[in-house]
Amino acid sequence: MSDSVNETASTARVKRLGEPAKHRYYWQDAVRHITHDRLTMIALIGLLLLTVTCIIGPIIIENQLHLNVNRTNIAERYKDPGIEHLLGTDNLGRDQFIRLIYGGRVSLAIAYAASALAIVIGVTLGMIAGFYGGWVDDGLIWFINTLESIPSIFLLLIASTIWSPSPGVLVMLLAVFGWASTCRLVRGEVLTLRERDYVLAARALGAPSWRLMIHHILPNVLSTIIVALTISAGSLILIESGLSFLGLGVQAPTPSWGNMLTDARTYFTKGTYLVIWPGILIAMTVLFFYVLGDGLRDALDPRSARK
Amino acid sequence: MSKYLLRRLLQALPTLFGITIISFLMVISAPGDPVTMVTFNPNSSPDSTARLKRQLGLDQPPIIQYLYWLIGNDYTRIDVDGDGVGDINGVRMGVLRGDLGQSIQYKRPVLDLILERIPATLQLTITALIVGYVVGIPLGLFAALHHRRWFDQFARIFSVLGIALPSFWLALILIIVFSVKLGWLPMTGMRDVTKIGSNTFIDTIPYMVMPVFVLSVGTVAGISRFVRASVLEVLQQDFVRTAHAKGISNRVIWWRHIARNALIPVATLLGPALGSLLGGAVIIEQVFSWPGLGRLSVNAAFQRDYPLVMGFVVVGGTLYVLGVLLSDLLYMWLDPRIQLQ
Repeated sequence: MSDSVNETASTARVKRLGEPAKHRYYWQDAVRHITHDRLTMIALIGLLLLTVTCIIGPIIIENQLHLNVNRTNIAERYKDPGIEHLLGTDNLGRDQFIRLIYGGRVSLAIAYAASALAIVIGVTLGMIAGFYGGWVDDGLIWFINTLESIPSIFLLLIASTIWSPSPGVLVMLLAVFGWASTCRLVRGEVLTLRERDYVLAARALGAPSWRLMIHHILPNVLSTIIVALTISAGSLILIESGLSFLGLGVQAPTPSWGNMLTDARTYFTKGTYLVIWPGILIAMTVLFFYVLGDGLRDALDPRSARK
Repeated sequence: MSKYLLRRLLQALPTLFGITIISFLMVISAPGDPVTMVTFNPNSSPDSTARLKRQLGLDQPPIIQYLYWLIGNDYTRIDVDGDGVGDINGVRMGVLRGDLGQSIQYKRPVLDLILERIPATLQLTITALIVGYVVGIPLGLFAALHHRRWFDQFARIFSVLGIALPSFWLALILIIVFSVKLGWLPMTGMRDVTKIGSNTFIDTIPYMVMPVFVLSVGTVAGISRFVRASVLEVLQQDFVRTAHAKGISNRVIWWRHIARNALIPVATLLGPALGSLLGGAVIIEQVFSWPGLGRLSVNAAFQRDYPLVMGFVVVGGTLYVLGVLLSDLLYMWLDPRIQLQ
């Protein structure tokens, strides 16, 4: 009797050992977590849809419909939204729907490029400062403190008057003034990571500093970087649209969501619908980026509470 | 206390110094000859241009130009005719002594222009700051009290929206609804009110409603999020459980133990909130034609009035640093434990 009990217990144990609980790697786990997070998935799909529309839209408009986004048509001014012009026309008779797609292409491209560039700068400097410490670190922290204590709109204001802002220049400016928070974040993590035993072990085996940084430390700050990238793309959309709204960002006739509102502000008595859509698209995109950022943070941090 | 104060003041100095360096570096890297911008006369003879350059100190290397700008040049004699001997005394006092230079556009001292406009901007930002705290704190407390119930969800959605909505767009929508459609509030015209001279604070209130609302949305969102997170963190603390175990009533625990501890860190938000409000005012003043610093700075940027723009960066940065300093001191005053660290 007691034998059989023992037997069942041991077979159960063997079974457990033989078929271990299906374990997942870190990234598989993160992907699984994200695909189960409905809100984050909505944001991700929304962003993908917006991006794809803004990439493919202009190609179709130019090659299939043979329309020019900047062509004005005085006879068609302030047409209400309808079948011919889905979202109406603006003060120069240009179709708002088409301009929104082109504007989105400019705004999104600037946001993606600038946040990528800002992250590259921030991560590189943050890794170096955190890894080497000492006066390099002190100097960088001083610089970041300084940069963060000037309202960035002031800096961008000067910079965009000094270098007239083509979209390329705008990307550079936004990146140059937008890397500080990422840098601080990465530096903080590297400071603790460089003291870990496995880093010490690698160092003892004779790994050079660059190898320690790229192979041993960088993979561990990757999740921080991905979250920072998403959040910064969102805030850059806001900053770019604000600058363009003031007339200091993307210059007419190239449409961007921000500068479409500059025109709309002048003519809103004639076309209220011209004010509504660019703003909704900006808000929606920013919201998607922030929600995605939050979701990614939950998914990529194994310590965060998972529902 | 005084030791901590001294240390914080000393820590602020390198930052202030850095602000002057950044604004100077940006302007000096501007393409084009600064003299032609001052004279607006491309036909002036090379001789007089060179004289003007020497007089303004633009023939000096950048580091000397920076020093002239920072500490002035009234202690040295300037060689105007180029013979190597000083001819006249310098007249600039330098940023450190409150001389931010002359505005090119207005031909007046930059500091005077800024001081003229600062009250209007502070009226807007400080009111928005007060609204931000007065609305944000109860919202955050209430959301945490009703954690994971509908009010909490509502507060979370509001706080995300408050950060994601472009402020200038919200301003335009408000103008369309309340000024154009309903006619309840004036769209612009604050300038006329301040010019009449007989105005009181009450007279300006109708003009303030929309700009303050738009500016404070972001602050309310930020503060309520912070308070909510802070309360939820304090709820986990041991002393809260102890208080429950002692049989203290929920009301007392809530107000005396939780709210009090959770609200102290909110003081640290004061500086950053002021900074983002100053930045936000730049755009909002433009929309509502508000006669403040922001509007002046955008105009200065369009006119390439570099001395004026540099003045803004220095004043804006200093205000921010002072705000952070103030909020740190407030934090320390509210929570004596900070000193021990």
